[in-house]
Amino acid sequence: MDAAQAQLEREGVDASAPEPLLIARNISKSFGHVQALSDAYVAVRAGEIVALVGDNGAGKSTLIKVLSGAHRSDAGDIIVRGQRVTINNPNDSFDLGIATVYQDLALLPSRDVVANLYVGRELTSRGLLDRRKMTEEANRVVRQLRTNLPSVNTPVRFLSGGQRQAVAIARVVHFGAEILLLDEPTAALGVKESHEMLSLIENLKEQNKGIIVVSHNLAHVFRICDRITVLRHGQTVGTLIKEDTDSTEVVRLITGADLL
Amino acid sequence: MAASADKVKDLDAAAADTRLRRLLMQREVQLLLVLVVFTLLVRAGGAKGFLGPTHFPIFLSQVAPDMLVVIPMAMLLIGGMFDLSVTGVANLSVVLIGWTFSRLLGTLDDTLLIILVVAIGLTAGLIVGAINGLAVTRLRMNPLMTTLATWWMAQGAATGVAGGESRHNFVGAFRDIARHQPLQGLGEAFPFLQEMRISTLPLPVFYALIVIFLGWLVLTRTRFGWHIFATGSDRQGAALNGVNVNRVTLIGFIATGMAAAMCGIVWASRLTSAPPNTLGGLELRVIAAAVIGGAALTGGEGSVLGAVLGLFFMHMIRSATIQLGLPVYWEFFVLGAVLFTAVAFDAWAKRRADTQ
Repeated sequence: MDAAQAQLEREGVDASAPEPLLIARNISKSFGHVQALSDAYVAVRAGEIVALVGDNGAGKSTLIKVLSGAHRSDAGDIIVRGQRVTINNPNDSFDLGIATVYQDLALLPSRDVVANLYVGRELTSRGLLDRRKMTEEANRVVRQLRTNLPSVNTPVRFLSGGQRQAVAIARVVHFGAEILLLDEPTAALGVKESHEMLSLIENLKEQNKGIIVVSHNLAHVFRICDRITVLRHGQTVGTLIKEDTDSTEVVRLITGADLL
Repeated sequence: MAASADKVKDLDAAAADTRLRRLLMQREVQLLLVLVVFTLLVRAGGAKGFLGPTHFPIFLSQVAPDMLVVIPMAMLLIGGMFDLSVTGVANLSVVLIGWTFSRLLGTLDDTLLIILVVAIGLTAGLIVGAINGLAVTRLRMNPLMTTLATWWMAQGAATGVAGGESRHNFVGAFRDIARHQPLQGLGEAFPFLQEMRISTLPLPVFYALIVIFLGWLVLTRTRFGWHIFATGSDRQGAALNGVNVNRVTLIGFIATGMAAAMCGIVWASRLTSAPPNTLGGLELRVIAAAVIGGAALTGGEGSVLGAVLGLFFMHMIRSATIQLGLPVYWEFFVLGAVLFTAVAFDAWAKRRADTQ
């Protein structure tokens, strides 16, 4: 498969379906002399899970960081709900309804699930915290995600890795994120927890979120994703529809073995 | 359906099982058990009246001035900061009170003069607290070195203003700040209060109760309190979530400075004299108490109840040493050993949690 064919592939995929929630195209970013991204492309629709795969250093994390406002791209377009936007910092990204859940979740370990869900946006009534309402809401959010937590009053430190991740996701969903960027959501999890996490991501899809998942685990990718965008050396080399491909082809795209 | 109901039941059972374990893992519960055991041991060791009806009210009035400081210090620690300057601030406030009295005694109405010296004392705390807070937030100075520096400056200013004198010419009514017993009248009406000596509790115990209540209210029932925890847990993360972390820190330092000044005011009133070395070791006493009570030096953890119990423990060790007739010189050894144990225990618990 050559570059032109890959280009056709991704255009073809996008033209037939509704307008994506988010498109990032021709994104380039360099750090000094290192060109981390040169022509990266990724798009996601509402109710769709797109996997972002590639070898170490292919630019996956950099692309996620550009979308979350942690890095500014040198060039390229970001289009959210049909509007061209600029993302200069994490707040811009948050305001656009884009939320990133990183591997190091930035949760407050000593605080319970409720406090973590509401940090910075606590509800009050008559000047004091409305703990009952926050607890009720937190229970509702947790139920909606169909994740099992012992209680929303449990300090996060007592939760497992998967449960913590669920809390981090619940937090961004609760504050209206429609586009979720998940960085290696199953990397630190055991087998059972990984499956719970994948189910949670599928629930998010049912709730019509647009989800971009960075993952190394192709079995997980194939279980949940609709499309797979492959990055190599900072370029998007292709976007494959899950039904049309298999892991062998994906691996060849990732490694560039198809060129031999 | 049935399977999921079973699963819920299992989760409930698991939750009930872990609830007891979690209760026992609470620092406040552990500390309370330690205090009870300690009291029984001291009593068994010969000090039969230890924390008994005669001793307890005296004990409370001894703890009270420190209690004013340990609460805001614990809140500062929870917010990820700490303040060494409290001893200097307290002594500065003592000396300024003595100095003002010596200058203005007789020129002003007594009540007015008392209000003035209290205001001057508190203002000193406010200013040093604000300097600490602004230095740490605006100038991004290190809190350890900043408050070490302001401690020395405040202490130096206290010594300088005192000029080698401890002034004794106070307005008589100033004693009431530390010595007035507000429940005296109630004690006459209800003899059992007199018998339990509750009616003899002096004002500082009530200041302490107010500070404890306010600390608890702010920390657990207000947005600001939750912001303190968030700031201490993850300063950048909290800021990204819209928490004004600099405001949290600044207010924390100001509150601690003013509490230290209030502690100085109580001591000046109790002693009716104003030596510049009235307080010694206040900073380490309250920081150690807060840490023993579960406040993390790294921020994000701790509670008002823990700080109260931690300070009780510090003072109980001191009282027990005296009442058991042990050499007082060993008091610091015991305090150090207790602190060492508390910190080692925290490190152990943290290691265990990390490997789980």
